Amino acid sequence: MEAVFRTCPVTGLKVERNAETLIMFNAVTSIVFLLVGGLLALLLLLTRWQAVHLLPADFFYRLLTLHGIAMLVAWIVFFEMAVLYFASAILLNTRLSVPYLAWGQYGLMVVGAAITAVTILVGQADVMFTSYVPLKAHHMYYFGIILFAVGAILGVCVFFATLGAARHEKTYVGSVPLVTFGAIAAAIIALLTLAHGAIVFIPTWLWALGVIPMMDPEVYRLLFWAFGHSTQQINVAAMISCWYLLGTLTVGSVPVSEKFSRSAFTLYILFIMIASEHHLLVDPGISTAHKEWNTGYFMHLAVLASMMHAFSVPAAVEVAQRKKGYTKGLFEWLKRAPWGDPGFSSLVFSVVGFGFLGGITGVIYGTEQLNIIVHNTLRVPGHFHATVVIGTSMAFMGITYYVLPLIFRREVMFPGIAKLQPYVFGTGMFVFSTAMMFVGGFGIPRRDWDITGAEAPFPVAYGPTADLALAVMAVGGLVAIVGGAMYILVAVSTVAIGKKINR
Amino acid sequence: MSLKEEHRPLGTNALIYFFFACLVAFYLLNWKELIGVWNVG
Amino acid sequence: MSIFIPEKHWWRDPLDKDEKVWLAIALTTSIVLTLAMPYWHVTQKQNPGSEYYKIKPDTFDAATDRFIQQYGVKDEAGAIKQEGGIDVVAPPPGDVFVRGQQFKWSPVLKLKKGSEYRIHLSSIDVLHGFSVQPINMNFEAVPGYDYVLKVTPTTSGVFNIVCNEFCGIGHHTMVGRIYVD
Ligand code: HEM
Ligand SMILES: [Cu+2]
Ligand SMILES: [Cu+2]
Repeated sequence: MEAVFRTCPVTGLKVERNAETLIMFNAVTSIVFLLVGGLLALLLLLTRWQAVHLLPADFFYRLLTLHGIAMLVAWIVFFEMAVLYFASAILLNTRLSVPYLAWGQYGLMVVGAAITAVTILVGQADVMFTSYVPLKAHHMYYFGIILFAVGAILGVCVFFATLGAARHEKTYVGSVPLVTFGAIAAAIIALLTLAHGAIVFIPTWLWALGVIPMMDPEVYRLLFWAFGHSTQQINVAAMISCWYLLGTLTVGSVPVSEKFSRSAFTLYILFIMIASEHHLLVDPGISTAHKEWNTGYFMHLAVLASMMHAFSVPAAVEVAQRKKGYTKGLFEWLKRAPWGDPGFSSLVFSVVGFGFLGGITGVIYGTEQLNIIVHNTLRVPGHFHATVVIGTSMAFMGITYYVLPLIFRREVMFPGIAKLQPYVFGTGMFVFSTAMMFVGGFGIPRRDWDITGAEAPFPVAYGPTADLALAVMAVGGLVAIVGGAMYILVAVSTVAIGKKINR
Repeated sequence: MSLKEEHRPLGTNALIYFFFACLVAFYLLNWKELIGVWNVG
Repeated sequence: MSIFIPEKHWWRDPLDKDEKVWLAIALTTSIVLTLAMPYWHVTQKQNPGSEYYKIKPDTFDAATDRFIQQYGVKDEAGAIKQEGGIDVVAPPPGDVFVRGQQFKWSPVLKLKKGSEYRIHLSSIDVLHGFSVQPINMNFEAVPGYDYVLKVTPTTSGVFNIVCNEFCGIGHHTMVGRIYVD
């Protein structure tokens, strides 16, 4: 196939047809899953708000399983595929290698996600996305996940092949850009992670088919989180690459020290396989020494790496602004920042939410003893809605406002709504996850349809403060859902009917 | 790269140390809450 | 810029002072946070236990039944008293069994404040979450593992054992009870 290029009028980057098409398909599909997951979020939210209690129990658990899959798996990973293709083919001015493999990636992921989603919807997989054995789903559930994962592996292979081709064909000289470097970190972690995914899901699938005996439940948990925790590290690496990208696109930021930022990404890769036992801190089957070695912050240094980026991302923005002459006081650079650019405001929400809400609570909740007062309470989903929604999802949303004109070549529709969107979504999500962590402090469980014990042998009550906080959580969540709908409205209408940019 | 004094990221410094103070404060608060649970080991 | 090729020899650039100071603080933090965990084990009394044994779910089930027979609270007729359809047990300090199953925690426990119990926690079917409320202590009950928690209740009152690991459609009906006086 002959590679066809055009030149981007804004960045001067060469954009190849295949890369462009695949970025579009993956991005649009991810947004479709965000829409599905968002509708489910509304129903779940109105159920967990005990005063409203919308869904019946079986539907709640079923749709919760689907919300986890549609959001954490489909929305995030499809978008990551688009980011990988962007960071390789587009940023290195090259063509996408082996485009048919990239189509294989897309096809397998779509089919896999669809199989899993349908299996859940027809009531054959009420197991939550963690599918801890001995709870058993229909074998098609695991099969769909396996297809999806194989697709993702193909995507990572295309990414590396493209990097290799670019190097070989000398489309760039010297080192790759920082954003590409971050994407490489994400991709390496992805390969290691997906290998664990195979180790855990293939035997489980065979077990569901009745071919082999069940895996030991604790071994399953260990392997599942070796996969599941590392997956979150992919999300972090991809998100931080997007932070650097957004810094550059919105204010022209330059990393203050390439060495500092790249070392931090390298730490993610080096220590990725440890730390995953923070999901098992209050489990039997693992010794204290092993838990502490595995989750020790000095042992895995991932927290160190994140704290390094937490400095260097805002510093890059600040230095760029100061060089424009905004040097008065401590914060003139921030005051004069482009707050009306949704790319920029998304970046700020993402950094602050990930750091202050997600990061701080992550460090605390992952401490061996402190996990006693955290494990499986609402503190946990409160924490990860701060990391993976305010952090990762908002970074991806911010990028979208640039991908629309650069790749889809359409003017962003409803610029007024686009401008407001990060504020609505970000504020709602801040309230939602903070309140969720707060009610979690009362001991209210996650994944729980009814917290009053109405159908249990004994009634349960958490007190009026907890009930009030649940209502605050619900209101925050509703605002976030409005913000999410605004994003989808802008993105979908721009893609469908936005004015074409021809230059 | 060495920066001119007026380009130093002082605002970022202020933010990051505020972040650090929050981290320490919430960390200690959670240990305090933990002491309230039963003895277990 | 982060989307373009970096300058040559970027790795030779020395770090600025601000970065060095923050790096030192962050590294120190990582070390302190790590050491805090063994430190707490040595000096304080709230730690996830590390004593556990592999056990067949059937064996654990039988052990729990024996425990209930031995220490069950009897009524005048000599039958074991029940609350919410669950046997009530008042064991002396020492070994105590807590059995998770879909969707029931058994038995109901009557414990004494300040006494130490070796709670054997396990499940005979799927995973369950052992969550004592409103104390808010949470542990995982895993089939095939006898998790031994040395627990000393330090407050008295009525406590619920809420299941907080999803265990099936009846998950939210799985509430047990502990009385401490
Ligand atoms: C529009 C805003 C959103 C709202 C209001 C929302 C709401 C909720 C609610 C109420 C739960 C149930 C918590 C529980 O009962 O344990 C939940 C779970 C979850 N959400 Fe969201 N969510 C939103 C967006 C997202 C996004 C964007 C992601 C991922 C990127 C996500 C990932 C998850 C995951 C992984 C779970 C846990 C599922 C499980 O426990 O199995 N959510 N969400
Ligand atoms: Cu249960
Ligand atoms: Cu349960």
